[in-house]
Amino acid sequence: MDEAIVRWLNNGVGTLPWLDDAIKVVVSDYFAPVALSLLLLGVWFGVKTAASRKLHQRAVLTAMLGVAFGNLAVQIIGAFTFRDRPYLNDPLKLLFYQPTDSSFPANPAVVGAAIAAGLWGTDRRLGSIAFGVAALWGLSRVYAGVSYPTDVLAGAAIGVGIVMAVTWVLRRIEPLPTMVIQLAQRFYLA
Amino acid sequence: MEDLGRDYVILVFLSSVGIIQIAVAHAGITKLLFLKRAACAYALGLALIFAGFTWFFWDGPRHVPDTGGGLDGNDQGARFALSALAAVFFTVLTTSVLNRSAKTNQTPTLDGLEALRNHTYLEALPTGLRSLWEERPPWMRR
Repeated sequence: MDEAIVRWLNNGVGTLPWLDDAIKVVVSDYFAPVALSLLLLGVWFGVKTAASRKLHQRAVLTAMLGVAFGNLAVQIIGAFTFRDRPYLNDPLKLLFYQPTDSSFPANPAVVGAAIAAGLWGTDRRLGSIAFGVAALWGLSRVYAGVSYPTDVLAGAAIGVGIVMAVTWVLRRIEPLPTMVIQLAQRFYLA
Repeated sequence: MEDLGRDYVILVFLSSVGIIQIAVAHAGITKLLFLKRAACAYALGLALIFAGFTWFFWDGPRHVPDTGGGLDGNDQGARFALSALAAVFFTVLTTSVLNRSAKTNQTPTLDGLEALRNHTYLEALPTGLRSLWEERPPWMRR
């Protein structure tokens, strides 16, 4: 099933050259991570009221910690499991370089989902935008032939799960997160 | 590798300055604006973001594996953090010069970015630092 979906999606490569060019940018290691990180930076500065700003800045902290611990989780999982990339098992038309690390779980999906889930907890609209970018990033990885759909879904689940855990921990270690934001406020950066 | 790393830093710096302009225009934090009119700040922000991405992706999608000279996740994270921080400091320092006004008797409040609606960053910072010094814990008071 997993392989069939990759083959079906990857079959489209070459049909619309402009779409392939766009996907090549979206699937890049730099486009979506920078776009999502800029969204976090914008949220940090862009809220209109002081009360709402505190909540949103806490969401940004949650998302950043989610990304950090999500990456750690991927490293740990990668130490115990290895899954070949789709292009090694099927003659696919690659739109990306040939990664040599494990296909499972998809690290981009972990990062994208962690940022989106971090924002979603406070702001559904911004969370939806971030989930949209993350979904596009994950889908482009499958289309480009470098990830299986289950790699992306598992990565997204890990990202969301880590953010839920981070949210729980931040509540438990209160007032430390609030103190971090208050300290930044004294420097007029929050 | 060096070109990619340098271009990445430029991408993040330009687009961070741009997104901060859009964000502070939206939030009404007027003393962090380069241009007084919000519409102009939005336009400048969008232009900077567009310029950053165009600069970076001009020669193609930059598909370079980290084993072959690309930036790995940690390298990207560190470069992003430093470049974004540089963009923040560039913004607060430049707008402090651009938006400086005649001295007023009004003391900036201690509620962070809220104070930058009426005071520039460099006008407000001494108040924040003074309060931190006055509220330092007992073990630092010796």
